[in-house]
Parts: sequence; structure tokens; C-alpha cells
Amino acid sequence: MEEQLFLSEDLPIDPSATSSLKETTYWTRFLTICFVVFIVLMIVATIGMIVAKDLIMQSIPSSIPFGKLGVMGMIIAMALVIGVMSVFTYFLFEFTSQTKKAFDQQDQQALERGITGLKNYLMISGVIGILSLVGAIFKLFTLL
Amino acid sequence: MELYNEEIQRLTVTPALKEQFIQTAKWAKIIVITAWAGSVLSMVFDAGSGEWGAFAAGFFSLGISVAIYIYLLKFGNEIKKGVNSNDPQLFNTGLFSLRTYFKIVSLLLIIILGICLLIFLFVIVFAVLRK
Repeated sequence: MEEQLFLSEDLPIDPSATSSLKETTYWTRFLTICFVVFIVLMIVATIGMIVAKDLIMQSIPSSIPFGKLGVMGMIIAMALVIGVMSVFTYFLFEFTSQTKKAFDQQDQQALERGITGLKNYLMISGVIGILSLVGAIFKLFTLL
Repeated sequence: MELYNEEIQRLTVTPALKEQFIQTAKWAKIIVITAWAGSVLSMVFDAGSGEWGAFAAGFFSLGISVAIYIYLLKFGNEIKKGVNSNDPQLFNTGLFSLRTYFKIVSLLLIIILGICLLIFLFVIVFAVLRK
């Protein structure tokens, strides 16, 4: 009951919270730039693989089972990684830019958009984490 | 100082924003649980395979994982408590933990990129010397 009462009240953002959030955006900006560079490199590598697909397939000995399918699978996997990383990076960028805008222009709406961006970023990370963990548990069962 | 006073007056954590913070804290805790469970499972695989080098690497990776995600866990717990009890002190500590988490992740990334760059330079120098 008391908790519900507190939830309906506003909580002031003081200089300490402002300083922490501002410094967080400096680090998230750095991470966003690194992710963008990684995505660009992945796109270049994927395009390279698509262009040189026939050449790579010819070099794979026919004795290797599913070797040619493996190349196609790799291209699909790389495209999937690019897609997930792009969404991931977009939400981190949203958090960085909107939170900075909120403090620069004292914009309450921008702060809400920024925190929503952070929530979405952590949500995607969490979903990827859950999927990886489920995969690892399945692997463990196959080993037993 | 004047700017800070202005910020105190204007920006607040509204009930809608509190809900967003609670959701963010929930996902932060899920990430921590999955990351730590994943690291422990990875160590179990390595121990099962009998490769002690891989097991040691897994143990090292678990240590790094604990060091990074402890701050995300602190963020999740303190933000939730701060928002639920309307306690600015706990809320600030939570945001400070979030800042530390992103700082550690960024610094680790800088170290990894530095090592990659060194390996790249080493390979180039080695290739030139071999010619």
C-alpha cells in the first residue's frame, strides 16, 4: 500500500543523479561507436562472402559433408548478427542521444524516451542471454 | 550551481518513468542471472571435457563476468528499492552502479581492441620480416 503511494509521487533528479546519467552517456556513446564500426565491418565481410561465394564453394573439397551449405549458413548467420546488432545499437544510441538532449534542454519527454531506450537495450540483451542459456542447457543434456 | 538548481526543479522521475525504471531493473537482473549461469555452465562443459586449460580460462572468464555484472545487479536492486520507497539516495547509488557497469564494459572493450591491434601489428611485422 505504502509502495503504491510512493509510486504515484515524483522523485527529484538531483545533481548526483544528473552527473551519473551524464557520465553514463559518455561511455554508452563510445560503445555505440564501437558497435557501429563492428556492424560496418560485418556488412563488408558479408558482402565479400556473397561476392566470393562461388570461389569459396569451389575451394571446399567435396569430401566435406554439407560444406557448400555451410557457406550459405555462414552468410545467413552473419546477416542475422548484423540485424540483431543493428537493433541493439539503435536502442543504445536512443538512450545516449535522448538522455543527453534531456539534460541539455531540460526535456522531460526526452528523458522518458532515453530510459525507454535503455530498457529496450537491456531487454534485447536479456532475451539473447536467455536464448544462449537455453541453448547451453540443451547442449548439456545432449552430452549427458 | 544555478544550472543544477534549475535541473532539480525541471527534471523529475514521474510515475510513468518509475515504471520504465522498474522494467529496466528487472531486465538488468535477468541479464546478470543468465550471464552468471552461462559462465558456470561453460565451466561445467570444460571440466567435463577434461581440458584443464579451458577450465582455467572458463574460471577466469567467470571472475570477469562476476566483476562486470555485480554492478548491473546493484543497479537493478538499488533502482527498484529507490523507486519503490521514493529514496533519492538509493536511486542515485543505482545510477552510479549503472555508470560503473558501462565504464567497466567500455574499458574492457578498449583493452580487447588494444590487444587485437597489437596482434595485427605483430602479424604485419612478422610477415615483413619473413620476406
